[in-house]
Parts: sequence; C-alpha cells; structure tokens
Amino acid sequence: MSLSEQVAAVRGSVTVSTGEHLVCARVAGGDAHELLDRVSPRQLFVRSGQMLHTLLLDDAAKPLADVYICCDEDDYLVVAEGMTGGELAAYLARHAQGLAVEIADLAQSHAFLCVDGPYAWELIADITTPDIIGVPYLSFFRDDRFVCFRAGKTGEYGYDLLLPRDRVGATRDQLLSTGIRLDVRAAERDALDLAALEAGFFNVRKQVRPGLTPVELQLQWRVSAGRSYPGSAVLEQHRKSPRGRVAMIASVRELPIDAAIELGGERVGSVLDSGWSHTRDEAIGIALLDVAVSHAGLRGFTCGDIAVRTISSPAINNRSLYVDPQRHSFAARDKVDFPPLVRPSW
Amino acid sequence: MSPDLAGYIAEREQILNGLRGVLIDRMRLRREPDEIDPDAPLFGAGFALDSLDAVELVVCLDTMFGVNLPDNALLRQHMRSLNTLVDLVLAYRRGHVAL
Amino acid sequence: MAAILGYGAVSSLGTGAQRIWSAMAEGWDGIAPVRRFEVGTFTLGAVIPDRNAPEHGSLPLCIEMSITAAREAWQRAQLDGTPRDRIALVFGTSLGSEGALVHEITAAVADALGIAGPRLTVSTACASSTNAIGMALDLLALDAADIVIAGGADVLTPLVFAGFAALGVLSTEKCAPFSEPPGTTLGEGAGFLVLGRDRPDTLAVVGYGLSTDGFHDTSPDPTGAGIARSMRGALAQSGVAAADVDYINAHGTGTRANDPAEWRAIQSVLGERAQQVPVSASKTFLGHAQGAAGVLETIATVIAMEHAALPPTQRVTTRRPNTPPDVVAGATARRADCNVALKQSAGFGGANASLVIARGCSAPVVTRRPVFVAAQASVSGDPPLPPSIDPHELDPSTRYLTAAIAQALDALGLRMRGEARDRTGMIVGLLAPDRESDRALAETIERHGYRGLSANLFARQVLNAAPGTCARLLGIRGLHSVIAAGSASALAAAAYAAELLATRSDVDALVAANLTDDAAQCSVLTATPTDVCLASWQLAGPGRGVAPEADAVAGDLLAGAELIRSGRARRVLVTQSAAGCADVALLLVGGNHES
Repeated sequence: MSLSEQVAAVRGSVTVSTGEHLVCARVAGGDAHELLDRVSPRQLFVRSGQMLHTLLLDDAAKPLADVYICCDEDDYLVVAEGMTGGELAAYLARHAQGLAVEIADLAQSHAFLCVDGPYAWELIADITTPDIIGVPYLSFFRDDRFVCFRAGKTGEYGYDLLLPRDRVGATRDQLLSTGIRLDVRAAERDALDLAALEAGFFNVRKQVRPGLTPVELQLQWRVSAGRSYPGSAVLEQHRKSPRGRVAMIASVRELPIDAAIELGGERVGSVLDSGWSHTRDEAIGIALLDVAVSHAGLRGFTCGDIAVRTISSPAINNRSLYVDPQRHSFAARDKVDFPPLVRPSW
Repeated sequence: MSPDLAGYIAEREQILNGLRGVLIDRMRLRREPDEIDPDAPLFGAGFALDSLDAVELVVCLDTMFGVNLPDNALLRQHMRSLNTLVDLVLAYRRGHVAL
Repeated sequence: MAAILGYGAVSSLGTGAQRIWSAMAEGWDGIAPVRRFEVGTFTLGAVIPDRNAPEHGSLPLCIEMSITAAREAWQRAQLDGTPRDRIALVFGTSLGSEGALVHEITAAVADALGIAGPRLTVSTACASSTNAIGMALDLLALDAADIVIAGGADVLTPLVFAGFAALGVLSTEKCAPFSEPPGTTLGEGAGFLVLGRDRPDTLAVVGYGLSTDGFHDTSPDPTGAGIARSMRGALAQSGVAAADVDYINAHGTGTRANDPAEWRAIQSVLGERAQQVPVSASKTFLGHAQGAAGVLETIATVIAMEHAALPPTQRVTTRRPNTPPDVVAGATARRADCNVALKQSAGFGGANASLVIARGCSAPVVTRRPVFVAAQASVSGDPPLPPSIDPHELDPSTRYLTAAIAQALDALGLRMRGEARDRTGMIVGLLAPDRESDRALAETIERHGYRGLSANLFARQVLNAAPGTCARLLGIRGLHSVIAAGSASALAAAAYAAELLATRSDVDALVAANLTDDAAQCSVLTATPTDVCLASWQLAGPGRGVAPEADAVAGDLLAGAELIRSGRARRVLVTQSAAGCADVALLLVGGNHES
C-alpha cells in the first residue's frame, strides 16, 4: 500500500504499526524518583498512571531522546525514541551515582505496537473495554496482555502498546482483524513520520543537529526553567542568545536535507526535515531560520530554485479534534459534518 | 528585509506578545514570555490547556482583539498554537473571515 | 431509613409543591426568557415567578423561599407538638446567598421556623440537597433528632449564569436531556422534605449513597464509574436489589458530558434491565435548580409516585446516542406504578449523591461497628506536598487540604490503590470557598465584566472545589461530603464521618477534615482498632448539648487524641458549641476499646 494511502488511513480511520523506534526501561527502587528528577529537564509532577512528555539531553543540551516519563506506583517506566534500549539504560545508569535504583532495559524482552487515527480509541476499546474512553491523554493503563500508553505523535488519537516480544505478532493480527470494520490499515514507520511532520510533532531521529537545543527547536514546553539537569547550563545560555528558531515550511517540491535557505539573496537558514504531505498535497518540512525571520506566514524564501514559505504548526486540521468517543463511532462517521483537513489559508 | 516584511513581522509579534500575556495572566501559565514558543501546542500536549481554558481564550480573543466569531469550527481549528491564533486574528483584521 | 412525612417547594413552577404536580400533569415547564438581569447569548432560565431577586420583601430570596417551602412541608407533615430541640434542619446549597456564609443562611431559616435541634449545611454543588436528604437518615439513626427537615435552596444570579455560560454548558433552547440540542438551562428554587422514623404505608427514603468521581473539576468521569458507586451505595444501604428498581430520576442536565456518563452508570448498575427501566429528567420542567435540584426533583418523584405516575422528560425530539431507551418522553407524567425509585444527583468537583425512595420497604438492620482514630495531621504555612503534585497549580485551600490528607495517609501507610480508592472517602468541614480564588474571580469580573469572567475561577466558587480537586489528586473516590456548621464544622464533619463509617458497608476509611483559609487538619477514621477509639458522637441544637462524662476535655480531635496517646487521660470529651448551628460532642476512649 502506498504511503499516501497509509497517511490517509492515519487521518481518516485507524492504523496499526510496529513500534520498533520505541524502547522502554523500568526504574525501580527507593531512589527512582530522585534519578528521574536528576535527568528530567521538566518538573516531575506526574502521578501514578500519568505520563510526562519531555526529553533526555546531553551536556550540550542536544536532545538524545524524546521520552515519556511514566509514574507506575513506586516505579517509573521511561518510554524513549531516539536511543536503543541499551543506550537508554546506560544514560540512566550514568546519572544514578549513589542512588538506590534498579534499571531494567525492557527492550530485550518487550516491544511496542502503535495504533493511531481518529478511531484508534474504538479499536483499543474493541480489544479491551469501552471504559478506555475515560483514559485521558498522556496516561496509561494495564491489561493482562499489555501496558497501553495513550500518546501518539500524529495529532490523532494514539495508543502505544508495550507487550512481550513473543506476543507482538498475535496481537498485531488481532488488531488487524478486529479493526476490519474500522477500515484499519497496517502502516510503516515512514508514513507515521510523515503524519507526525504534518502534525508539527518533533522527530528526534530526523531534526536534531549539533548546536541545536530545545530553545532553537521550539521545545521549551518540554523543559522547566530553574532546574538543574544534563545540559541545563548550556540551555540557559541559548535562551539568552538563541542560534536560530525552527519554523514549519511549505513548498511545491520536497527539499534536500540540510540545503541552505535564502531570503533576498542572503542565507537565513537550512532544511532540517522535508517530506510530502499527502493531506495538503504539497511538500512540508522543518527549517532552522535566523530568529529575525523565523515567523509563520512569510513568503519569499528560496531553497535552490524552489520557492519556500513559512506556515503555522500544525499543518493539518486533525479529524480527531471533532471525534468524541461518547458520540461519534466510526460507523456513524457519515453523520458528522467534519471540516476540511486543512485550515483555510488567507 | 523589505519594509513590508518587517511590518508583517512586527504585527505578528505584537499579537504573539498579547497572547503570551493572556496565557500568563488569565490562564496562569507559569512561564516567562520567551519560554512560550509560537508553534508549541496549546491543548493536549504542550501547555495542556483544558476545555475551561479554551472558553477563556475565546473570550480573550474577543476582548483583546475584537475577534468575535460565531463559527465554532473555525475557532477550534485555530486554537492549536499561538501561531494559528495569530493567523486568525490577522485574517479577521483584514476582513478575510466572514461573520 | 426515613419516612417522608411532608414536602414543600418554591420553584420556577410557582409556590407550592402542588405546582410541580400540575406542571407534570398538564405538560408545562417553568423555563422562560430571563428578565431579572442582562443576559447575553443565552437567554433562558427557570426563575421563581413573581419574585424579585436578590431580595424578596426584606429577606434575601434564598432565605425567603426556603422559609416558605419549609413551612409548607411542615404543614403537610402535621407534627406540631414535636419538641423544638428534637427537630433538625439539614440545608443543601451550592452558592448560597451573596454576602452570607452558607451556615448563616441555614441558621436564619431555622430561626424563622423555630427549629432548635442541630442545623447543618451540606455544600457539594449540585449534589447538595440530595446529600442533605441522605444525612437526615444518619441524624435519625444517631438519635440527634426525631424529625429532620432536609432539602436546600439556590438562587439564579448573574454570576452563576455567567459562570455556566463561560463553562460552555448552557443551551440556547430549553434544555433537552437525552435529546437535541445539548446544554442545560439554569434555574433556582427551594425544597424541603420532612423526614421521621418509619411509618407504614408512607413513602420513605430507604437509603442513600455518596461518592466522588476523582476525574475532573467540572466534567464527570465519562465511564460513569463515580455515579455507579453512589447508586450502588444507596442500593446496598437500602437492602434493595438493582433488579427491584422501577424508575430512575436522573441528574439529567442535558449537557454533552453528563447524559452519556449517567447512562453508562445506569447500565453498569442495572445490567440488562437498564434497557427497560424508565429514566427521566425533571430539569426539563424545573430547570437546573443547582443545589436545590436534588430535593425539587425528589419531590417531583414522590408526588408522581403518590399519583401512580412517573415524571416525564419533556421536549424529546431527536434522541441523542448513548442514552436510555425509555426516557418517559412526553409533556406529561406517565401513569405507571412505581414502588422503588432511584434519584441521582452530581455536582462540580465530582460529587455524586443517590437516594432510594420506596414504599413498604424496610432497610436491613444495621450492626454498628466501632470507629477508631488512626492517623492525624495538621498543616499551615507552606506545607510540603507529595512530589508528584505541582503546588502552583492549586489554590491555597486545595494545597492545605491535600497536604494534610496526604500526610495523614502516608503516616498510616494507606496507599490509594485498587479497591482502597473506592472505599476511602472524605468529609470536609468548610465555611467558604478559597479566599484567593474568590478575590481573583472578583478581579476578572471587575476588569472584564461578567462576559469576561474566568470559567476556571468560577468553578472554584463552590465549596466542593478544593475537596473535589484534593480527592482527584490523591485518588480518594469513596464517600464524599462537605459540611458547614460554623465553629463546630470540624467536629460535625468528624461526627458525620464516624456515623457513616459505623453504619455503612461501602467504606473502610474516612478522612474527617477541616479546612480554613490558612490551615487544614484531618483525622483518618477506620474500623481497624487503634489505641484511640472514637467511642461515641452526638449532635444537638446550639446550646442544647448534653455531654458524656470524661476525664478531660479538648477543643479538637488532634488535641484529644494526643491526650490519650500521651497517657494523660483515658476518656476525653471533644466538644464544640457553634451558635446558630449545633453542639457537637465526641468521646475518645483510650486502650483498644470496643464499647
């Protein structure tokens, strides 16, 4: 199935994909909170069953991983993208000097399945119970088969299932067969990455460069001021004098990664990420631009001979905003007057 | 930079800063203005505003910028990030949005 | 159980409970364009006809209509001759009256009626008067009174109207629960039941339930789990099986969030039978009378049952998905026998209250179990909060209450996990909403007018705001109530908590807390023996209390328990007399005592 069909399924029904980009570590022991508090750039106000979306940074404040720190009674689960299981465990261990903690790399024994789309909640409800509609965004629950994290990076309903590796195949099959009535599609990581790009979600595997911190990457919401954590000193410096700021861009063709972007003949930035938005029927991407011109709604940029303009994030008007699990099942979707998937451009 | 461009950027910044003020004063967001990124998500992820905050925001759009839209769908589409809100205010000012 | 000996009401349908029957029999409602004050986009409300608010005559409307409704109820009951100090008043209100603390309103109403027994106020937003009626059962069982007048009142003010509008829950048309369009219609009113001990062939409140959602400050838990807990508690106390419920009078506000959550709860409790049991929403003719909604809708149910009928849900046109199949759709009441009815109410902060109303039922005999004081805590200043909670998101009241309860539960090693969350509750003594939030709300109104009122801050106006948020943060989802009794609030909360713990099967631990602007104290009461037994408790009218003998006297539970633990006394009387409210006395006895 083409990428465009897969992205259409993410936007219109529900997709199932393997989550090989995700790893998980369990942090247990009396000092578990202390360890996470040391490494989390964000205040650790997270109660049992809740997830905190933040980053793991290196000493230069460069994002190494996009993480959810999940409080699980006395333990923590760290769900990470951008590192291997071993790298995650090693990072945590490196900062655990003098602490009573046990760090377990679950990537050895467990893997993820991802369910995304405006009716993802319905597929999850079908294989668990209808009560999951009460599970708020960024919280997780357990079933006897898996741990289900309600997150997602496509701007639609999204659920990531953590389960033993030997059950992934059977569970994936179950999801694909139960989801037939919901028009479920199997999707590849590339399609989910395109959907994430449309939704303006940061991609740690593609958008990081040396010298870029959460300040330049518009990720300050994932960081709390006045805290000490790996890279905090450098980040504070960058806050005072940023090296640029990312902006979402659009063009008629995809742009070469790291190509220069110019405005009025002067270089003002470069391309961090680029892809084809099937929903918008044009190319979109993320560019690092000089702060003075890093604003949405500007025309006149060029990349080589391709015209580039900046747009506001997110680039699409997610259908999930208009789907209320209390009232709008997949079967009744034709009765809902959904607005267009792209906002009007004036 | 052309004067047109500079003028447009200045207008966007003015609205952005007004909105940052709303988030800090009305929504009690405990952040400095320069920590509030223009593309950061307002609801769900990002600043995790909730449905009560959404209603407040709509009232503030009216009282601060005179944006008074009966169309809920158009409003909701633009309440994603500060940038989308700025787009809405600008479109309203230029008369692009029908009442 | 308590027999319903009389009822009285003042509502948008007019003065007198008979007007409620007329509206149901003839098919009309009390909703009309609001003329009392300027309104914006939303124009409809259910206001008392021929009354000027906020004053009527020389009295605030809240007090005047309460006196009128209570007098009507008393006249129906024909109980003149009852000793005045054996009559109690339990008054439920969400926002009370401007310029008065809620317990002062209760005192004023009691004084006008000549009630000399305990005067208690329950304030859990729109669940208040339902809870108040339930509390009457406890006062009778405790022998704190022979007759209890229970109900409540609330007024439709510009503030409440603007607040509900800001929350996005008002409808542009007359509210249409289970139908279209979504949204509710605000109203006002006062209603009271006169309740006494068992009388054969009389409709009675056989049992009641309480709970809190622990989900969100203004939206209900969409799974309906909290509502279901409250309903099950009411059925369990009544000894009535879910299979025997003939009819449910729903909270039925008509908002998007309420109706489906309530339906889920009904299905969860009734199972298959949920498809047949009629469920109707009386707010369609009464409007949403806020704290008085529970009692007014209970009166509608009782009157209908007396006429062998069921209250209707008016204005049902296009059915909303996820609502009961039979909502007694129609303008008028449906002729049907009904022996067992369930009344459900819910309020901001997640409070739920349910009543079982039945004829010819006898509740199971209760074996009282002993109550013990487990952990206690007292906080003020800048107390530490559990590390998972962001103190800056909370107003001071919520911070104090959460810090105190977290500390006590921690000291006890009581983890809110699994079943413990549903079987642990809190009863909070409180006189007013958070001072800081109140001031901040006044500021937003000053600066932006009612149109610019802050929805978040409005939601903090109900007394249940801090307790509801605290329950959510700590995962305490069991029995839940907020009591005001002047300076005796702390002890009244403790006495109420003790009575609930001693007599109910749906609770293992209750936190009896007291909250003021600058401090919070709490005691965790359990059925598990500790070295401090709460041997007895009693409530009486102000100045009427007779205290049991003791070695020593203390002003609060913490000081009292400390006297025992330090060995300085073995029987400690903890007592408080609050003018206008009640005398409360608790007896603490040391040494693993069972009597």
